[in-house]
Amino acid sequence: MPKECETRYTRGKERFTRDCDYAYARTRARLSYPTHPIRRAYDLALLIGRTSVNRRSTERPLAQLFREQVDIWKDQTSHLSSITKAVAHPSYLRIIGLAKESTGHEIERLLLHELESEPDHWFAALSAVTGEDPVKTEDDFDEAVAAWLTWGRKKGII
Amino acid sequence: MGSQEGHYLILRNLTASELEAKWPKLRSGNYAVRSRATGRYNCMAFANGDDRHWWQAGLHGGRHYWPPKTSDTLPGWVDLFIKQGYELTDSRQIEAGFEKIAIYVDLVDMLPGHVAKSDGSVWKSKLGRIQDIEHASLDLLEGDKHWEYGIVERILRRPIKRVAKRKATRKRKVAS
Repeated sequence: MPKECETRYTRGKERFTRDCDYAYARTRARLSYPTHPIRRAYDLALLIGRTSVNRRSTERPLAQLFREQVDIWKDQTSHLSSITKAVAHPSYLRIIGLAKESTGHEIERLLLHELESEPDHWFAALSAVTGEDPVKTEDDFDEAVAAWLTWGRKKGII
Repeated sequence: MGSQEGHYLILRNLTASELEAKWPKLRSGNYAVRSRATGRYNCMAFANGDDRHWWQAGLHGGRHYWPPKTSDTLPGWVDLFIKQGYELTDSRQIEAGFEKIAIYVDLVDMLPGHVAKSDGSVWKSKLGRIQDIEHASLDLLEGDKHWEYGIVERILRRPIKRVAKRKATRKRKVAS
């Protein structure tokens, strides 16, 4: 097969696989939490993580994949007033999905460093990849950031 | 703690050229940046005078807030402001002596996605998780390109309270 065709075929295949993963995850998420949009988004993120990453190429370093998706996410959602919409963005979900390729808490470290250097709404992603939530219900934004950074330091991740 | 607390608020500020690329009608002279970028509060919070919470339907407590019994729809957003003494108007102009609210509706899902407010002298907007800006008119953020917010679907206004005016006059007298 000519190289150009091969590249197109591989890209098309990856895209098709990813779309199938999203469709499957969306279906499952709707069944789980039909009335709660943000929980549905979190659930969707988790399901994508579980279903898609085993098929993804690991040739490129995780940090590079992470940075690409962070940049896309910021570029396409920074103007939104809805966090529900922002965390349901494919790049946010792919970041969560990278957890399956992460070894030695690498994805947690990347997320925490990102949270420290540019405090943004990474709380849902951190909860999804760690299965924990050190943020108290009454914590404001600053306290939520501080709670996650403290958690990371206690665990020796950052 | 103060400096540490401040550190947590800071996101990268978008430059003028980045803002003008995302909202193509913004040009030097018709808008001005008035804050640093932060994910702490959004446009709905800003329009309601709150810079501590992200106003998001269905979420309460801590870093989130949403007024009880308010639906996340255009009528719901309108009712929220009507309860605060605003009334609907057709005028898109800034009016001295009136606070105004403009609700933008997304052209894709036709749901409210942005709110701008006027204090009688200029329009002000908190742009998502980035900066607050002042803008000369509502149409500068309207459109369907890049990050534009769709169209202004409802405008509300209420008189600026005389009490506040009197207080300001008294303060000025005291200062002089």
